[in-house]
Amino acid sequence: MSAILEVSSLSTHYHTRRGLLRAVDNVSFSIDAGETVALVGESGSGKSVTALSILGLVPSPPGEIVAGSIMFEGTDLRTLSDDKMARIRGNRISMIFQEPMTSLNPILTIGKQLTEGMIHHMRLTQKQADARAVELLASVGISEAASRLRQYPHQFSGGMRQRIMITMALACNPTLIIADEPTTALDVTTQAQILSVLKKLTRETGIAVMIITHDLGVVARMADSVNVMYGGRIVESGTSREVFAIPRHPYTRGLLASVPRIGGLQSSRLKPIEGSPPDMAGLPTGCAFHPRCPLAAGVCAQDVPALERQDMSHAAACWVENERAKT
Amino acid sequence: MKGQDAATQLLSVRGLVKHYSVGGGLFSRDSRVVHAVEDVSFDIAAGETLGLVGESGSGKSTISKLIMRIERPTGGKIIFGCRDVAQARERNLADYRRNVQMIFQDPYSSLDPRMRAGAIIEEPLVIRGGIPKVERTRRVAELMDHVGLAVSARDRYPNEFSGGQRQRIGIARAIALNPKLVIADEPVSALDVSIQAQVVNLLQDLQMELGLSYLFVAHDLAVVRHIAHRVAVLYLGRIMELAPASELYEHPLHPYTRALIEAVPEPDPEIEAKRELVAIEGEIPSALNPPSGCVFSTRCPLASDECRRAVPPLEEKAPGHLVACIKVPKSSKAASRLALGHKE
Repeated sequence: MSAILEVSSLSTHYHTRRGLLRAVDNVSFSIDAGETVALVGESGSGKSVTALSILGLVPSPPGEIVAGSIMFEGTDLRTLSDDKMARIRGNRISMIFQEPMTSLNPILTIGKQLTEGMIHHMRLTQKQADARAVELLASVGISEAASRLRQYPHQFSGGMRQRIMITMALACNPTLIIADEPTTALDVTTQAQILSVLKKLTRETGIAVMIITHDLGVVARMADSVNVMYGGRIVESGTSREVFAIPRHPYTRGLLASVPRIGGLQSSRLKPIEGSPPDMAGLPTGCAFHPRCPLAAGVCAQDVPALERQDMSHAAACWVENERAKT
Repeated sequence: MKGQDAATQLLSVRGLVKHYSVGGGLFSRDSRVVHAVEDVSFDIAAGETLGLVGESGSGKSTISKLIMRIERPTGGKIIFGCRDVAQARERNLADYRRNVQMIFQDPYSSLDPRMRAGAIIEEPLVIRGGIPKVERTRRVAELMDHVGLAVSARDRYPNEFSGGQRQRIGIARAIALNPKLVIADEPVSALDVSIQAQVVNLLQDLQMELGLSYLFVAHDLAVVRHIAHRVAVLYLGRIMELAPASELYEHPLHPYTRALIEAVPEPDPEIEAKRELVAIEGEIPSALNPPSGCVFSTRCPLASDECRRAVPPLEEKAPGHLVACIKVPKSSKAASRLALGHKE
């Protein structure tokens, strides 16, 4: 399979009053056509800034992409003008955000918002665009779609608005959808509905998805492969099956051990990761996880470990683990 | 529920109802009513954790507000220590307020940003009165130590603490007056995953040490399974199912509980790959106009006309396992046990 998105050595920094914030630091990963890739991490891990960097939406100032390349369908997005980038956004790459109410325009009808992009990007007539909108709304499970086109966002529930966001994301036949915490604001039964719609449609259309989430369950349900982020870096990457079955980074292991499970054997106590997520304005030296790491050795506090491949697809950035793998 | 239990229970809620009128004003013509909580009954024993789960609009937060007596119930009883406090006047609630405390969801907005950590924890002791300053200072140090905060951090402001530490401040404050019952409304849902387990463990430790009871209100079914002894599942203001935690999660009987548990994504791709996801359709109906009969009937895969006729009673279908669904048969084992054990 060929990569449609290849992010190489991406670094995005924010200049704040509290100092330089390395929100994304030397991040590399790729997404193949039709693949669903997760970026998983806690708040401040850099997963959302990675998405904003790809979309060319890093607010500047204070933010700035300082290094790296973002190859999308053979073009480095960093070299594009704002105009050209705007033509890719919402067209070749579309977005789904956590809170649909803030991303939908409250004073425009759903129909207007859905068809705008199609008319602009795909050069459809209003009539053609309306027909396509009705078809897409039906595919995400919205009934009586034709009459729904005349309604406004507030007339829909949270789950319905997120379905509309998915429809908008699909409208122009994108190659890639970036979904940032798409179900975090939703109830669990609504989340299940949205995830299954998203999965079904992306499988059918072959659209690649980059899903950003803090929820390991969502990763397990949706993603073919996963990149675990901590302190602005990818600390582990691999297929979902590998990473969940044999987590290599102590942070990934800690996360998986700390989450309560709904099924299976219950332990009487959870095993938390001690300490707190790092302050991005004062990241620890070396491996950012070392102050919380049960395996930390002297070298961990001094140098940043590289993301080393243990086999074809599975890699971890850990001095101790990589040393172990070599022997 | 058996009448004799009420005496051994710390808290007994019976037939709790809360309606809100939409119009509100004296001259409003809008006479519609939001049925936030309808006929809810449960008990919490000393040292027990009752989990209250439900999606938004299920009434779980309203129930915690009613038990906190932040709001007055429309009907029903809240019996604490042989006394019904449901309609008690504020001046008669001092003792109740000391014994029933709350931990809030958002450790960012629930702490006064202008107060130092020590003062926040001390405040309930000051309000109670009659405790000398030296004693209060000693108690604050003890509480901070108890919840895993460095006593040296007492003069810092909330914004100097991480989310997990702020939640510890809130917990220290909640237990300052040695309450018997703590209502924890989504206490870990605003925290990072790696921090949630720390706070859950702390709550369990405190329960062991202090003999606390918890009403643990949450939408996260996995956290509730871990911490609760018994769990009540709410839907549109009513209890659908109430059972010991392991029983509820391993043998859910109500169609809604089943759908809810099935919907939770497990952090295991092997399990997820095998899952044949049949998400229940539709969304929770409006509490302004709840469906007749069983409130879940509009989305239930098993619903028949009979379900829409009358509200199904919350009945014991297996030992200690209450279900409000006419489609769930009483297990013969449960029936025989009931026949033998019932002394009323």
